[in-house]
Amino acid sequence: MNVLQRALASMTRKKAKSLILLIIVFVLGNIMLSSLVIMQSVDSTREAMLRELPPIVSMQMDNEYIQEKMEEVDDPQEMDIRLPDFDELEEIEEAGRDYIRAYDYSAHGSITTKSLDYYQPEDESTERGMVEDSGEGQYFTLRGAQIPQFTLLEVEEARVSQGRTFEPQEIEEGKPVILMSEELAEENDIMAGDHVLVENKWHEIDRPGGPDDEPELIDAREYEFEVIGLLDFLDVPGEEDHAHGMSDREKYQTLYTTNGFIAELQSDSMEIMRDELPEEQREMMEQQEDIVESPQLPVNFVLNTSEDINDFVDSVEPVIEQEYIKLSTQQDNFQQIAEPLESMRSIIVYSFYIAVGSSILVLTLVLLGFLKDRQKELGIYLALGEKKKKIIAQVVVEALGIGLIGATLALFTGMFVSDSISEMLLATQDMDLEEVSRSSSIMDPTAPRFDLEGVMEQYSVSLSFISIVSYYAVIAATTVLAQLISSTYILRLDPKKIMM
Amino acid sequence: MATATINVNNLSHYYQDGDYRRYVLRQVNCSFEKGRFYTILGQSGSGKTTFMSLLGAMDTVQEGEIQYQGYSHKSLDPNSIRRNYTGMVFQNYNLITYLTALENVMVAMEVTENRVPEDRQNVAYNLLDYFGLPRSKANRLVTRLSGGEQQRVSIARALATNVDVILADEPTGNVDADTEDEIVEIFKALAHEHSKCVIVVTHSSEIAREADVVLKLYKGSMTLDE
Repeated sequence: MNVLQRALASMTRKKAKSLILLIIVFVLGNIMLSSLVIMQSVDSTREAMLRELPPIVSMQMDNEYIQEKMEEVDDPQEMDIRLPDFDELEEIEEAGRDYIRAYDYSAHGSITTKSLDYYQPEDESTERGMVEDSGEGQYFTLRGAQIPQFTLLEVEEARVSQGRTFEPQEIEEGKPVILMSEELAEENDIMAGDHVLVENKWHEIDRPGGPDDEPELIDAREYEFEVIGLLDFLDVPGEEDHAHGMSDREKYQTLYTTNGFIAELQSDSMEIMRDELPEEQREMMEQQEDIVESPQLPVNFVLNTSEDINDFVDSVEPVIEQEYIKLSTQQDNFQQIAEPLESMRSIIVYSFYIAVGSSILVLTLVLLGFLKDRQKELGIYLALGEKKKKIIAQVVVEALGIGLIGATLALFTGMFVSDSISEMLLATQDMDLEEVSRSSSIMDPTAPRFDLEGVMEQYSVSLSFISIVSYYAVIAATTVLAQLISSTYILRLDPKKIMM
Repeated sequence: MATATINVNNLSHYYQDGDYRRYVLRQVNCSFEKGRFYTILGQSGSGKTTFMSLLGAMDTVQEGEIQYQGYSHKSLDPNSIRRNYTGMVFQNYNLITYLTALENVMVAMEVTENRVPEDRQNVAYNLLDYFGLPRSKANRLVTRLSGGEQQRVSIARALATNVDVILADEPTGNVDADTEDEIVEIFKALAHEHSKCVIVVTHSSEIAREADVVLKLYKGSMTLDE
């Protein structure tokens, strides 16, 4: 008659006590299971949605932090905002080496030319009016790339529909090769592989005769680009819900080239403009030259998988010295967009801890009551010379056995309970949230790529293997802990007082 | 001369009452041997239950020493003494109520570290049968047995651990006269036929008459009743 046999006999023959314990665990099990299932379902929804998205972490300026700090200081000029330089970027790369597949940053530049015509999207031409040539030429944004599969392609905002993307050697040498939108190419009758001669013009900044006065031309230089590919911009889920008026125009008029070529263009620009500028502006320009020595933010780290995101952030964050630099991921958006779900999850997390705490308390009291009722039996074991740890093992096995049976019964009803709780809690949430502000800039890999509707469609209460395992583990741990706490009573028992 | 199984040397025991110590046992010296049936006679409050609880390692020895097969109580764990050196029989049987008679006996076999035959179930059945409980009764919950039968189960359990010493505290207190006689006969048989050292605490002079040795406890002092 070993400990297990004794425990089994006690469980099956002391039916009333077993039934009371079973009912208590069943009720508590339902609460715990529903909490776990809802938490797991929200997590699964988040993971499933984030898994679909490119595994990118973006290092960018924390504008909110800067804004707060600026309000605190008397003179905002006192704030020393220094971007990470290439050495620091190397340190960051080293810290996250295990997770990084590649990283990309994009230098910004522009050209003003009459050699290319604007593409006017249909909706903009009707709603905003045609963009007119001011006489200086059309203004085109230049975006640099540091890797062949640069961010725009990585985040699948666009695909190369004709031609190819950059070769590593072209990037390394800063070659004047470009990718442009299919629309802009069509407007200008350009095909992939064409060479385009673009005249870039620099005009005087001051217009002495007012805005209508045509500015004086300072210099003009010709650059020959090779159009290596055309881009087809893809629909991004969630994009349609967000205001991003500039985005379409920017998309189609932007020329994508190598960072090296943009640096060369900026260098030309500084050389031309330096002598034309008043002293104050010249100083500012010199400061800008320093900026060229830093990678343009955001720097987008493309990781091996989405699962690496948290580990990467943990590894890299300590290396970043500047407090005003943050690491953004799609995870941040999820918390904002799927707030009703996240909020429900937070409530459930608290309820879960409260449920576990109360369960331990309730079970401890009930089990202590049972032990006191079994005082004589425990005294007999002690009088026979049984070790206290074996007696405790017996009562733990009993509680655990009944606990697991109760937990299994609750498994069948817990799903209905979780569904009801989930519906009830979501009904109390404000689903009519303000739109999440979306960056007007393309090539921002952390811009939201989903909306609340999509999140809610994805969300469903379901029982996963992990939920079941976690549930049994929690019930087992709670029951064992409660029984161990109440078993301190056994440690204090004196067989003489009970038996003689 | 038989070997002493238990030696009691200068055993004293008291209860602290503020600064005052109230002694219930004073300088008790005695020894108990295998193959003999002892009774300890005494009135209520004479200290006989305290003496029994000290022999059975249910209480802590305060002054003096008890030796079990030559080993001082100081070198032994009280649990180990209860498990391996003594078997207790109580006035109110003290059986585990949700177990059968057989299971109660087998629990004791599991607890002891003494050598117990491997075929424990059969040994337990035989033991119970020896004490007048056939298999049909052995398989009953102890709550469904009479007082006398329960006391027999209790004796069988004490014996199941293969110990040399059986300690019994007023074992016939809750049984009728016929059953009392039967139980006394069992104790005598255990001592004389199975070479056990049987020590029975009682206030009954009838039982004492059946014993090989009668010790009397009076106000904490022990004397041998010639």
